[in-house]
Amino acid sequence: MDKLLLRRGFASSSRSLHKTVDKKAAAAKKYHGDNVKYGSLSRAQRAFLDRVVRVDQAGELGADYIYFGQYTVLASKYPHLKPVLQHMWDQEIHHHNTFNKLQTERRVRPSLLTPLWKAGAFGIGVSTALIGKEAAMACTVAVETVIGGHYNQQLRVLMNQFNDVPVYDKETGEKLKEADLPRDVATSSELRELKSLISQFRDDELEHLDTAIEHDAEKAVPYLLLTEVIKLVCRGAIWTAERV
Amino acid sequence: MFRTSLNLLKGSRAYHSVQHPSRIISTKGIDAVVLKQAITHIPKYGFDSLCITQAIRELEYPDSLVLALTSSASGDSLEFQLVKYWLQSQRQKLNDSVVEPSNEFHQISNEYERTKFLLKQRLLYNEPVAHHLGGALAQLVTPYNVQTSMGELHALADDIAFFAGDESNDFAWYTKRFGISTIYVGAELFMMQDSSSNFKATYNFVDGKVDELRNLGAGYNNVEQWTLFNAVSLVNLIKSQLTRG
Amino acid sequence: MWKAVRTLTSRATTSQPRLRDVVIIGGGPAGLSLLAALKSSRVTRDLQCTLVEGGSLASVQNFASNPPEEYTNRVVSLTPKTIEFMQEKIGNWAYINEERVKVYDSIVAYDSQDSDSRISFDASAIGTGTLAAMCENINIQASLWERIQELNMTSDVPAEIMDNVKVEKIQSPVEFSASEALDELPDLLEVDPTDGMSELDWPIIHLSNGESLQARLLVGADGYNSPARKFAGIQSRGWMYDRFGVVATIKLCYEDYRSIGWQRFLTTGPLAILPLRDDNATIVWSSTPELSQLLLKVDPEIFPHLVNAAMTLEEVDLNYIYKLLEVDPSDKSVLGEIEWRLSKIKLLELDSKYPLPVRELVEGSRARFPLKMSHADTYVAPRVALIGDAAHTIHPLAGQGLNMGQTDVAHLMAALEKGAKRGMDVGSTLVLEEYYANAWPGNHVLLGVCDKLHKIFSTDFTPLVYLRGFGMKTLNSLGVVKDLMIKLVSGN
Repeated sequence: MDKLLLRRGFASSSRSLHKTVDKKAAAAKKYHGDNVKYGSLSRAQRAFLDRVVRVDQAGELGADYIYFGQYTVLASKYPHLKPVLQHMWDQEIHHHNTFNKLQTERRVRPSLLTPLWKAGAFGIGVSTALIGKEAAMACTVAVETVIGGHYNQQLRVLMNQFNDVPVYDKETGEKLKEADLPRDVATSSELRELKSLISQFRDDELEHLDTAIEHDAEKAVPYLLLTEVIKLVCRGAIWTAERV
Repeated sequence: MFRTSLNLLKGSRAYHSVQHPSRIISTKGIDAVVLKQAITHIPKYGFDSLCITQAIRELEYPDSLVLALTSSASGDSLEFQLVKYWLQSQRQKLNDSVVEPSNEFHQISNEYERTKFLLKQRLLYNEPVAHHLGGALAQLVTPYNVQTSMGELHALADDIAFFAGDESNDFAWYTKRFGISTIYVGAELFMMQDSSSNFKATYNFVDGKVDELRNLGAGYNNVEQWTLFNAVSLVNLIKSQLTRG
Repeated sequence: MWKAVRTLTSRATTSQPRLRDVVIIGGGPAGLSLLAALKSSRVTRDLQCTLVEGGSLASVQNFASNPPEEYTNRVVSLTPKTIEFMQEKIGNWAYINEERVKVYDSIVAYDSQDSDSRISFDASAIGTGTLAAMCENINIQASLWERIQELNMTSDVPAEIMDNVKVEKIQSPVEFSASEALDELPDLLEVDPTDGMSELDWPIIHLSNGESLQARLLVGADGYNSPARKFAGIQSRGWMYDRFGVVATIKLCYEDYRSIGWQRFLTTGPLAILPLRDDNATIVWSSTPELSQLLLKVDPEIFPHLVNAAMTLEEVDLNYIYKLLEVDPSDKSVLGEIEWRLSKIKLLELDSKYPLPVRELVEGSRARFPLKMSHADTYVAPRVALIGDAAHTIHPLAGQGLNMGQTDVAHLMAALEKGAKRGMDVGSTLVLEEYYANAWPGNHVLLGVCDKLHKIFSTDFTPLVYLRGFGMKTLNSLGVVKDLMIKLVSGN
């Protein structure tokens, strides 16, 4: 009887000893991108990502066409502004192409009002440029301010609301704990790349903002009126592009 | 109607993640198991609740299991659930066949030719049930089902467009999917009363319609190109006359 | 020591660019016309001008004394306005080889879907009796060359023509000092105007023969891919037509005494047969890339019959014949097919409604070139002006390309003469912008019209076909409107 108890006790203690050894072994296993698989995103998360890609694509399209309009009007009159405008425009074209590719790859629906955004953005670019080069810079300031804040908002959500996606071991299929995973594996590379893309683009946009201020944006005559109206239009367009 | 269309735009497959999986139809759940068996009976009985009762009997479940389906959360009738499951499983079949690397689909390089191939492939799956399609269509167009059925149609058109290699980023995205949906519905209606051998007439119909879509697409591109050209030219015209002073 | 001085001076001459008033890049009809016009005009004849041409102008020089036996395949139609400009302002018409120029008094254009939908233009409306004149490109170039040589003999400032010299690079002198970094922008305000170097912003053109020129005014007559336009940073807008123009010289069955130019609007593109002197004719066939390939490959014996077929048969028949020839470009059974179908048309109809049949193709005269429409945003930039194809390209269906180039030359001359009379700097935008203001809108309209014609006639969508057939028939019966159109196109 005592031997039984002893054996059981010994067995259970050896089992618990094995458990601690296993846990350490599990913790010691190196997880990287190739031996994990990720769970599904929730419906709300997918809807959010859908909106993000759509509105960012529309936003970059707008910025592309605004610079197009401004360049068309200003390039011949102010040759010294050509390199500045061309550089900012080229960066926007790159942003636009990136989001176009993302929209195609993730099968996201582009904004229904795309022709309207094209015409409207070109119109804003041309009309502010016709008013004057300071007005064109003021328009850039307004647009980039709104876009910068908008990207920040998106980054905030991406960093806070996407941390609960389950991660599984690829071979065993067991659910892994966040503590066992290095930080860059806990989130899928897809989401990480999106975050880094948005933060990089946000930095580019803020750089455009600084450039525009350097080029006498604040000297535009109805500065406050111009910037506030354009900011309002931008915010309205963002709201619409997210939904339509 | 406006809300329906807005809901359609929201779509059931909003964002297709690469690393986070999602599937079209669930294979767990008792209703999925029953329906999977039920669709094998469609060629014989049509889109009728008889298929479901037969399936339940074959799977050796008690007859009262049908209540699990009639009282399902979606509130759809038995016939409509059957139709919906049929559509979804055919779409899954299409997706799986495209992903397979040995499929001859991968030899075709032109986007419109691929669209033709995919449409015809999907219609091929309809062949066993072609004479029952009328019943299915009747189910799909009833007002309380139309939202779901439109969603399914859009999802199919989206899948076909994506696999064909559509890379449009603007309004063309909508017109292409609308075009594909229209062609598909037209082809199904054609198929219902097609008496030619192997449904040859239906497939020729699909070929003709996709060619029309191609011309329409080219036409739209021309119009957009022309509009942009004239917008820029207007600016240039104004600039040229301003220099007169 | 003398050696040192000699090396110093020689280094100085090769590194220091030669100053010229006007440098024209491109020795095509537009460039040569401008040079001849500059030297003809009393006001501008004392400007120091140089023309640089990358290819050889030997064939142009030899044309007058030794013209080729057969017609070359680049033939253009000249409007009366262009001929008048050449006669009066440039004065080169006297040197044109008139024996190789064919004058027209009517043009017939008809639809492929319905041969009764046709428009015929007659020259009686404009009184000169000439609707257009078909003239070889090289004939025009040769006449301009002769005129320039004539003017050089009596000029204190002879024009310089350099051929076989390519332009390696065009550089703005401001670039010499500006930094490459994006942050540092060249600030023109930093230039000290009292520097004494008032030609600081004259562009420097580096040539392939080691020389370099510095121009008060750089004129780009250098074609669609104009380096001058790129240098000025001027954008060109437009599109490729996804069509090729196939040209060839052919011989008709007998001389066409009617002096009619024919054009049939096929769905793939218009086919024009334009008779030249005697039984020669030239064809311009705008076709799809595949069809143009086929046309160049087809056996030379079959080609004439193909042209006949294309001017008379239905498109369904033509598509069948193309299919046969795709399989075997030397398939002689096609001749039988064509003949059988032609026999179905009544002889009287063939005579009155269709052009003379083609007898043979001149060997080696087939060529194709891509068709596109483009228009530069502006024709002028500081110290730069664009003329001809560098400024705009157009669909050949209305034969307006070279004539547009000539109107460019006319407008530019007007602006330069005005500027020179007032003692202004001919390279400044103040002088040049008048050219832009006057020439741009007219060219834009013409480009748009030709583009729309191309688009209207490329479709076989039945409602549109009916509409355009109706339009053509109606227009044909409205003599007044037609006369107005002729007057506009010929520039009166």
